[in-house]
Amino acid sequence: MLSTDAGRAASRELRRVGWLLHAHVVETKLYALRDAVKHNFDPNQPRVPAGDPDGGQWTDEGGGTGGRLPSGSLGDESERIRLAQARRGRGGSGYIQLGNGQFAEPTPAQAARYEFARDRADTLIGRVRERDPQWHPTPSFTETVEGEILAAQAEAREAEAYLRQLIFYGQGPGRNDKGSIPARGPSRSFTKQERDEINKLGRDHGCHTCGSRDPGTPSGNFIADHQLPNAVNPEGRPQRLYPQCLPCSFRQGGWLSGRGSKK
Amino acid sequence: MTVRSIHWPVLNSLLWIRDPTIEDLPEIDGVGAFWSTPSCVAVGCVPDCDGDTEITIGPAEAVGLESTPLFDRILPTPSRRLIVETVMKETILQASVRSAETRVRIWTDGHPASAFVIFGLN
Repeated sequence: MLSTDAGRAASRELRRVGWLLHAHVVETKLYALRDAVKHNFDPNQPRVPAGDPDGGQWTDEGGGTGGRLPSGSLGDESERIRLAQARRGRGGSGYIQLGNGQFAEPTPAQAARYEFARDRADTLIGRVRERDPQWHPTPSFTETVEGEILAAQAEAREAEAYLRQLIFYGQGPGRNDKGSIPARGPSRSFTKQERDEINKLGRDHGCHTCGSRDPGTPSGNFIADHQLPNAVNPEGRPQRLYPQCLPCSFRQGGWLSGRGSKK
Repeated sequence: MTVRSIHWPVLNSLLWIRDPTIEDLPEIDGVGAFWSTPSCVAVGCVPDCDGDTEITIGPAEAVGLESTPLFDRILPTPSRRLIVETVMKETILQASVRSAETRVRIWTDGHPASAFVIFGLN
């Protein structure tokens, strides 16, 4: 489990580095394009046809060579960049909505960093809400694109920390989830078959929260743990039963009653 | 103060005793058989899926056992009441007390998931 998490984290980090590198290249080229436009660059200016020794260079109507784009500038690559620009940001508008309600246009590098941070935050928030559907990250007030990026990063950190707590307190399937059976409902009375299946899962794989193979109960039975717990499932979403040991059930109870250190 | 007793399927194997006006509750780390703050005690009992727990509250001289109690401390009782509640905050037992501080002793069968819990008050 840990190695999978570490692998996923490394893969994300690699993707992020690649993303930032590409964004930097695009940003550099956009600056070059902006400079060219500032220097009376005419995008409709014709080029010398291919086959000519000066093929590809800018020319004027009379066939003489005109002003070239600065080194590293874009030519028809600008179209690709315009398309990329149109896709970026929330809703593909090319703008990012800030915490103060205003919209701001990020640089390509900012857009890449923002999308990465937003994507990570949304993924983690989604995982938290599978366990605590009512949870929201602390709202942020931002006035700049950089502020919005920092806010997204902060949301991801907050969600990650809370997710760790939720797992520790037995909210949602635990790190040692190796199997479960469907729950017939929120009822705490179980058939013999259900008890046997939960005990088999517990004996074979351990408590779904901590992995202990010792149920810790006087009866020797694992506790059949509803997930989501009844207390945080008012909508009556389908639940499953997982084997849980007594200490983890205690911790879960403390959290459910608002007595654990939730935040 | 009269003796009250009940059999109850206790969710998450946890019972709490406290004055209803004070909500300074202990964090449950899962290790041990009880957890406390200066004004509240949580004690472990049988998981509901394994059956009911027998819970008793009353004067210590009437309900107490000869064995050493699991817990023996004075809790503040400014409302002159103590309640026994579950994780879902259902009050399942309560007792009136005479003073703003009450000595609370708790007896169990010694297992973290005890089949009975006795709250003896003075």
